[in-house]
Amino acid sequence: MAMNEPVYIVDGKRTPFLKSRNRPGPFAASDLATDAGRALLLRQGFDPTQLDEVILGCAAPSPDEVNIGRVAALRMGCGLKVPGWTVMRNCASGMQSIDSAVNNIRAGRSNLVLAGGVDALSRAPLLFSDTMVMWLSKWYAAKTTGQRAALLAQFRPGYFAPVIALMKGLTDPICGLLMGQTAENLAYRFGITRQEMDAYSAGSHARVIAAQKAGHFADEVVALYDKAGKVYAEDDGARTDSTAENLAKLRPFFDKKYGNVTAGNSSQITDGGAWVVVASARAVDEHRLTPLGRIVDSQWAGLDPAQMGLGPVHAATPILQRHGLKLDDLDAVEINEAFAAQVLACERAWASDDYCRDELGLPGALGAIDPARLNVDGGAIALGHPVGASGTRIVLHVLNVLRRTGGKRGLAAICIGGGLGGAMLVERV
Amino acid sequence: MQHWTIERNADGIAWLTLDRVGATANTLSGEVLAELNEALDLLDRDAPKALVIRSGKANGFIAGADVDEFAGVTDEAGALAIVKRGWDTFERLAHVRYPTLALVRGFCLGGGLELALACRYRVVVDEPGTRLGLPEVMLGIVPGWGGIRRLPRLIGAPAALDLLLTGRTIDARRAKKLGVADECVPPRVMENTARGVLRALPAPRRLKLPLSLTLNPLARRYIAAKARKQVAQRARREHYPAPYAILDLWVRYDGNALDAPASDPASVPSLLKTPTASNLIRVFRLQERLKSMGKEGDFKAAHVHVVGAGTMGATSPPGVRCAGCGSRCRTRVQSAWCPR
Repeated sequence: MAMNEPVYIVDGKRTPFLKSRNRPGPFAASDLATDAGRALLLRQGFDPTQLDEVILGCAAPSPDEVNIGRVAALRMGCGLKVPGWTVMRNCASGMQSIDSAVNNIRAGRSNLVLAGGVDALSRAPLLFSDTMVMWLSKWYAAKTTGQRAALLAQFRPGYFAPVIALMKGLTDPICGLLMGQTAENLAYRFGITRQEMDAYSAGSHARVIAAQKAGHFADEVVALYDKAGKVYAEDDGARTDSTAENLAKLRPFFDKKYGNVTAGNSSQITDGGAWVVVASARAVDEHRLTPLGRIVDSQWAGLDPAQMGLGPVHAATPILQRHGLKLDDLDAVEINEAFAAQVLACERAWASDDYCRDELGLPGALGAIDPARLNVDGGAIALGHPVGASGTRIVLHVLNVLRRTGGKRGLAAICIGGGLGGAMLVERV
Repeated sequence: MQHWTIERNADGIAWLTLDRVGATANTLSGEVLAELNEALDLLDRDAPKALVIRSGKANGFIAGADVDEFAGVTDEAGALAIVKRGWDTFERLAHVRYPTLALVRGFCLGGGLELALACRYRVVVDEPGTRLGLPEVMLGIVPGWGGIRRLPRLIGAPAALDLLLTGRTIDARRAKKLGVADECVPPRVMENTARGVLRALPAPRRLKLPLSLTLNPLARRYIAAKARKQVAQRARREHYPAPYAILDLWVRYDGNALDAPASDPASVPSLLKTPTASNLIRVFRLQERLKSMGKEGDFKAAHVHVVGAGTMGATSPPGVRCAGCGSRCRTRVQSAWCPR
């Protein structure tokens, strides 16, 4: 198969994005993946066992489902013979899974792939501290009552203080900054004010609410039922009271006291999963599928971890260059809203002669994205950012937006903790 | 004014920025101090809600007094004039009716720190380049512009004398810990922090017990006597009078060198008469010359490979790494200093 062989996205579904309520949420990551996947597979013209493989992106699978791709494949009824595997590229794990599917299709190894992403961040574990672990190891090694008594005497209540795995995950191991602090860096660099961040965030909430009312997520979202029979039919992160005035009252979370990035102008901590069916031309013919769109190109980029929020700019620019496109040529753009400051910084970077020249090697500024085409139905600030799922969601959603608006070309781009960016160019067919 | 600029913002806060014309680093020459007085005149006429003092240079805040100016002084009157113009200016700054804040990024040494100490608040930027200190003693002179008075009041005598007598510099975090700085923040929020502190106007730091006791006259005499003994172990007064002078000025004149009569061996004219000061200043200028030689080329190391990890070679990589480039050292023997 040729490398320019068209690869299609046939269909996609996701769970409602459920905001973390500071306790483990109702669904494990594999529950979310299984429920969304089952609903998606149910409406396909092929049997789940006809899939060539299942690829699932997940940044933080729980210890009992580390190869969560295989777990979900089996639970969705893909049968014993369909391989399932897991990819991890932090915030873009759900875009990596689609990219991996594209690669395997182009390499001729697969024709029909279920690719997705999932994370249940509310279930991120609390860990024992190192001192507690050392104490426990001595405790288990103690043989005599005397040794145990001596160890008990050494024990301090402070040993119980847990390490929050999520905070570890949201801290860059190289530059030591919390993700929100990298957003503060961008705000400082581009002079983005608190008011601008809050206004952007209020807009995200308003757009999600408008999209919910208009039913724009209806085809995308699968209702979930927990063990008690409770229904979760809609994303629950958007708030009508998240106005710019109310958001202005929140205190900065990452740079305490004097920062600008708050919980209100950052993406929410959320549980969710999303899938798309990725197919070769042969699979489309064979199963008589109607593709939603075509994956034209994708790109990964690396940059300074302390400026990771500019990842979309670095990943999307080479794609635009390869295809001779301007930002104006895109009918819909999704930039994952990790932080309001970060999305605004991407816009400023593209509009800056200096940035485009010095950092991207362009002759001058690339231009601006029409706000009416960027994140038209809101984003992770209101919907939440279940890390592994977001990449799949924005690729699926940009195609759904194109279908609705009659647009042709769309771009989904995402910033990735650790200093990476990912972008995917799609087209309606 | 050519060295200072005043910018007034809608929130009522004035930003006074020093960018000394024709110099790579900010130093406090006579002209710069005279202009600071001019700026204070302007601000007095139409008082701002608050004032932030900062540097317009990327490399640091203020490196100190202009060494060339005081090295050129030979007579008593000239020496006293230099001390007086700094002392008076900073006394004036310390007593303005609006709250003041020094936003310190990069080096803040000697007269630069004395200026910052004359402000009500100090915000330091948490970067490797931020260093605060009063290195006058290393030039054989004393911090005559208020440092000997204000630093002990701010952080207590033990820590202050340590800095005054050794000339050692501290980084931003240590400055916050000692109480020299009110806030220590990353550069991305430094301006917001300055505004935030000046909006909140926290009560200026007060020394708490038992450190506040170190300032009473009896305690001063006792502490100075102990410090003098430690200094004596390192150098005798006739060879190195500056640390002794600092102690005397603190105990007898509360840090005001202008109050010491010329006959007092702790006075500035007496210090400048000794060959120690002029020799140390010469060493300092030779050092500066050596450093400036490296600046001419545009070579910037991207990677340093040290071969031979002995005591010297093996301790280099951590230093090189701090300077922001990769490094690796190679040796035939694994040493504790050099794990890779």
